Amino acid sequence: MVKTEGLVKHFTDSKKGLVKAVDGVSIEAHPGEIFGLLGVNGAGKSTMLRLLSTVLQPTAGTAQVAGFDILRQPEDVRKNIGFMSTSTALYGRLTSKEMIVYFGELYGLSGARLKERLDFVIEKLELHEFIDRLCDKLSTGQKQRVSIARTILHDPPVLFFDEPTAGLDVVASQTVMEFIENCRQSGKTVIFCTHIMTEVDRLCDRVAVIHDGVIKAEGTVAQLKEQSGEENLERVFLRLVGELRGAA
Amino acid sequence: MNAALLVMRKELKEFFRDKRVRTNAVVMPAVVMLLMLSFMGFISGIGEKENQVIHVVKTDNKLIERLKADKVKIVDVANEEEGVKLIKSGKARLVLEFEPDFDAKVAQGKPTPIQAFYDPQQDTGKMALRAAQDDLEKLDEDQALAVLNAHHIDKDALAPARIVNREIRVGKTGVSDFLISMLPYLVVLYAFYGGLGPASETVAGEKEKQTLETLLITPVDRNQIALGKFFALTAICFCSSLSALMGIVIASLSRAPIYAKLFPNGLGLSGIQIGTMVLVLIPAVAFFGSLLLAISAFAKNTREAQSSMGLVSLVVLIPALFGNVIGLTDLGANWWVRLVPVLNTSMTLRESLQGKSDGLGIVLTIATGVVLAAIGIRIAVHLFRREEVLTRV
Repeated sequence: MVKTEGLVKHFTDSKKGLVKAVDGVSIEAHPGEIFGLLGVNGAGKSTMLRLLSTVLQPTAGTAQVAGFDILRQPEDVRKNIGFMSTSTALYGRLTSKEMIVYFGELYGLSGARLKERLDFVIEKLELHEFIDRLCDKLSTGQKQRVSIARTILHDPPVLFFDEPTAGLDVVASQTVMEFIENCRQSGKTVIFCTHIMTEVDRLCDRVAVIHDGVIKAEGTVAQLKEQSGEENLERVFLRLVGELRGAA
Repeated sequence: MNAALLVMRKELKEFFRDKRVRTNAVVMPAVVMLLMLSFMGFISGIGEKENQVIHVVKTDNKLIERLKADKVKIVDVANEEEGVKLIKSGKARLVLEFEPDFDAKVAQGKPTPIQAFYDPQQDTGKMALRAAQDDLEKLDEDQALAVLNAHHIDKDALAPARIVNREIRVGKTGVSDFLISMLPYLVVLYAFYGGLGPASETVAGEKEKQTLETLLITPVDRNQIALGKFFALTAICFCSSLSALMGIVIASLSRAPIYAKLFPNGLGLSGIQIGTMVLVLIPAVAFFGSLLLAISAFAKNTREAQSSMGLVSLVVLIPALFGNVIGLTDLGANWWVRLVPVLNTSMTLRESLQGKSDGLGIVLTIATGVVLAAIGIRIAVHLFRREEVLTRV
């Protein structure tokens, strides 16, 4: 489970002054649920995930991830999350296998357990063909599959996805989407950041629209449509962020 | 396995798979050293008599015989005009023209000038002239001795006062002066420069490629990540330094004629000298590793890291250079010089090569290196804990 309470993150920028990247966000996502964070670029989605994964420390507020407090138990939080972002973030001079094993070891896996999990991800994500190839030599889709393998190798109960399909072709995007759906089926708590409405429509059980670091609305897609009186999710979103032109 | 060791193992694997790192940090120091030694060996042989060519306006006399005996190549020219033409066209270095009855005049003690034609702007001409002057001095000395003997005069009567050299060598060493002067400087320098490329990749490069965040999301403590990267960088710096040393070892053991003047006694390093060098080098290399890591952690990207490291390299270069000439001053006798990083390492290495290691100097040098490395690691770890530093790109 993921639960945030009044989460705040302010930065001081030399040009912009005080930047309120996340400003009092409270959300709750449950096991077996895909919770969507919908927002434009710079809305605060990535900062939210960085806070939840303890890369950044909140200015105020707190959050619990898989039952652990992000401030008091950051190491336990990190043990229980998997993070996949826009960037495939692979080490180009390691092979796919070395890359996955390296992260497995960093997550404390070793011996038979590591081998078992490695075999599992290779089988599940069909990595056989390029498992011994250097990551630099992989296609974007293959890189994305290795990245997924790295994310789930330690079988975390909570998964964060930060625009995981950005820059991918239709086939590669489909692989990622199916994988995220599988996560829900296996009872994982999934936080899914995106600005692509079709992905939200297809994947998310509940959605929070975030804008300028503030949650503008939260609920199922159907609830959001009903509350706004719009039939199209895109128009719902634009209305919520105050960008809908020609609206009645 | 300990997380820091895991990070180090991965870093080293990546470093050694990078062709640039293999070339710049492992192969190049040895190759550059061999090339440099070959060049210096060649240069040092240029002034030798056997490498001199002297043109002579066709004649034969005792000086020419002496030059030939010293393996100077003598080439005959028909006359002065032809000799001058050859000098102007760069085909001759030096042309000598003797008076016809040179040997007789010398024997009678009569003045007999030798015309020497050369281009004063050409070093080769000056070197050939030096060779000729050297043999002429010997010829004159023989003649002077013959005259003195004929008059029953002791040659010491001409120069009753003279200096007698009584060398008191401190330390015993079979290491050549050349090695003593160059080795400390180059070994220290390569310890730093070998790490430049990998250092800019190790944190700044990871920020740029967005792999750092993936690493920070693992449960591994940031101190462990910083330490792993520090150990990997230090290993590369040390490797680079050893590679430079290997270049010298290969040159000295090869016994190739070109290196003969540089290594008259072979390598001449004893086990104790090598051990002392490694002992002194390790803290210095650790200091460089921590310094480079801190710069890389602070930089936004590889370009920024490289330009900062370029500036810092002067801080290493200048004391290393000064270590090469400190023997011309009395500064080396001051204990506080042992607290100046890089300079102290360079000096202690030099003393070790000279066979006059000073215990206090070694201890102070090692202690300074250890303290500076610890400070450097502390700064690097501190930077690893500052989110605004790690997340800025």
